[in-house]
Amino acid sequence: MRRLTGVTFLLLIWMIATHAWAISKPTENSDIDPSLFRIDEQKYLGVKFGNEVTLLDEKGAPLAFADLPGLPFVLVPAYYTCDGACFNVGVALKELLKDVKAVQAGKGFNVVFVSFDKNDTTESLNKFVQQLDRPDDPVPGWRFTRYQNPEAIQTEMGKIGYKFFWSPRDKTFFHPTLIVILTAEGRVARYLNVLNVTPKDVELALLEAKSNQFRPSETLDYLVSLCYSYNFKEGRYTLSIPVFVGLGSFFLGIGLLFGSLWIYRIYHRKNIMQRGEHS
Amino acid sequence: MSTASSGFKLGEWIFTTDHKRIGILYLIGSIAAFAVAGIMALLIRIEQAAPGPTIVSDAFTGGDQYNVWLYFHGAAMILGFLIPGLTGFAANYLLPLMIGAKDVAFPRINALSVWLFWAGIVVALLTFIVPDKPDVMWTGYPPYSVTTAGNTALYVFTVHLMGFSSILAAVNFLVTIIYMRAPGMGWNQLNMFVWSCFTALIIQLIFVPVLAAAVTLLLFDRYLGTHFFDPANGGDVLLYQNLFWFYSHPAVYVIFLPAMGIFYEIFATMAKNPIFNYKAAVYGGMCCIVLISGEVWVHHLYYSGMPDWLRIGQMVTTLLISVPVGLMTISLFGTLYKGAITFNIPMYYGTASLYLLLIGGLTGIPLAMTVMSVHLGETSFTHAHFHFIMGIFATFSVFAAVDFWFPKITGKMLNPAQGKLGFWLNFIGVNITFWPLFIIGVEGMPRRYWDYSQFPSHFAGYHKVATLGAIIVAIGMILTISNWIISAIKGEKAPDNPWGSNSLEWTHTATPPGPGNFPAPVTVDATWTPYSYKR
Repeated sequence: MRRLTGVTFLLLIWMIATHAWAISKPTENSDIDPSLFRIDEQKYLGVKFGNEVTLLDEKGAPLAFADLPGLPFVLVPAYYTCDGACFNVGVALKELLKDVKAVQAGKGFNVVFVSFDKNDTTESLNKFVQQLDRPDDPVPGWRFTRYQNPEAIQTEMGKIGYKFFWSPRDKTFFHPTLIVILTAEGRVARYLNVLNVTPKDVELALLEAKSNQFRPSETLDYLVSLCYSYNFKEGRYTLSIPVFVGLGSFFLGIGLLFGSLWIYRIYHRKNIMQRGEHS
Repeated sequence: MSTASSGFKLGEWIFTTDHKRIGILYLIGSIAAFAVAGIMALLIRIEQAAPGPTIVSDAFTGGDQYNVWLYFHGAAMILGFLIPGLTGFAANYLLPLMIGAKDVAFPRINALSVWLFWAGIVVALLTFIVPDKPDVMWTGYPPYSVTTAGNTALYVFTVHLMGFSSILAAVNFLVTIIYMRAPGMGWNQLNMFVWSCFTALIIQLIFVPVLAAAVTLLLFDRYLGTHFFDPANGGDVLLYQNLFWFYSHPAVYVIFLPAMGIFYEIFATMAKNPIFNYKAAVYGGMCCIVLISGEVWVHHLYYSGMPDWLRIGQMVTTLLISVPVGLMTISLFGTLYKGAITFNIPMYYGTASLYLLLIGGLTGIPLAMTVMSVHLGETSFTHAHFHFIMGIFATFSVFAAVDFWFPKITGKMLNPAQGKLGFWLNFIGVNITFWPLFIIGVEGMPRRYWDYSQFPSHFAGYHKVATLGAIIVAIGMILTISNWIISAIKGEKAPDNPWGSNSLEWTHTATPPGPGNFPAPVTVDATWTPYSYKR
């Protein structure tokens, strides 16, 4: 009996000790706090990107941003051996752009993937392209590039506040699923989380980026875009209520004029008729 | 209620629906606003007479005190004096008389509009009582107006009351002009003042609701926690500026057009000439201003960020509006050509207005151009420019209107010596005040700064001269306004038509006009015009 009590007591101590140890030991969390990747957008809007570096295109040939047609860009920071987020970003972007009607990829803007992995090669790039850009579903205006000088990657990505980390344990990069809308001059116009936006958001961001050079045929789309404003908190565009209130009150003024003329006519006619009855 | 009741009865004045009494109530209210705005202007100028704290308590809170003065000066001058002085007083008193109408189309609405105006004046004056005084300029730009400790609600309610009052007035007068003209009176026989009010009130009616909407949303942002103008939460801070100037630039023409109309009346009467190029001035000038005035507001936002094409487009429309303004100016000059000009107090103000129009107009050209506006826009150059064209030109037009129609309104003549002395002090004073500001503006003196210690030391000399000018103006204003009060009480009796005008308010009404305005219904024939002078 005494032995049983002793064993029970030891067992209890062991349980308490293991619990205490478990509680005291910090949890090893394999996730990275997403707030680390947050970009202070207002700090980087208008920043010029990529005008001093040379990229390598799908064939390994040098390519500068200046060589691309003078159109806004959708910049997609990615790495080509990524089997998760980067591929999903590409697919999501393709789907989004199918529903962007006001501007067409290749005509109104370009999509440029830029690798932030110094180990990416022409082969890894083309493998990624093949996976993403299937021959039966070609996407015009898309370019896939990597830096000619890998040393420039950190500086260039840092310019637009884009953060990424290599995790040796997971053998992967941690990075945000952002696309960056750049003006034709390469200035940052908007950051969008591609997994969290609608085609309308992408369209509005592109129209905003090309507000200095929209074509006459895009005038209506541009005017429609003025009815929206970007919500930094939600990371998407929302209807700008003051525009409608302003327009409504503008027409209210015009309505008041015609309304009062109409009321006076009725009032005046009634007076004349009453006078006629009295006489 | 009639104007011819015996003795002064406060109740009759408060509840009057007579357009002439309502006009006088507008005049009294607007002169009260002008007086307080003038005191604020003096405080501003005295503060700037030397760098560092001059009359503000200390360097730490000085900016806050100065901002309150700026707020009240701007809001009271534009919302309380210039617009109500011209479209409230002058239009109310004169418009029905000029078109041969017994009253306005909706007399009770007219009474409501003057009550709202007075309520607006009272709310504006609360500025001096409440502990957290509004300090948001007359523009009320967010985010400052949303985050300041100052009482933004007072600003918003003042705009609401004044705005609603002016919408009602605009509706009333437009209907009156369209439907209540004397039988036989065609559109091309209208007085220039009637045309100027007609066009100004169209602008007023269309654009004021937009300002009212903008400040209402501002109120919601400030007190109800909405985010209409908060970019961090999906709002658009620049949108407020767009909505504000969408009204407030056309408001310049709401002031400018009736001011020009007044000078047309004075020039034609004093020169005994018909209006030079009447149709060009009316249709090419006034009507074109209505069309273009809604497309020029963006030049107030040149430095707030916008696409280049918009900047260029707005530069073009801003410059384009100088064409109708130019047509009107030529017509005004032409009306004097070979005229038998009588120089009296209204004509002194009229002649000075030509000079003010010229200086104010010419200094506006560089400000319309993007490349120069970026440098000059936020300096005292702009400050001097809009004071010449909007502040002084329009103020002189109100003074000229009171002086010109004083015999008709009161049945008394003004003291000419005091009136002329007042004019010269006003005219010399404003030049001494604002020319130095043009000069230091070009050299980089910013607008709205209470302290300029960090700028070149010679700016202080110019500011001292400008302050001296403001003191001279203050003396001139006191002489002018006291002349009205004294002459109204014990001035010489005025003849029915002291200036020999051909306009209906002089030829067909008693002095001052009685109830119903005209002893007999007025009809005019096709050959009649208010300007058919035979010399």
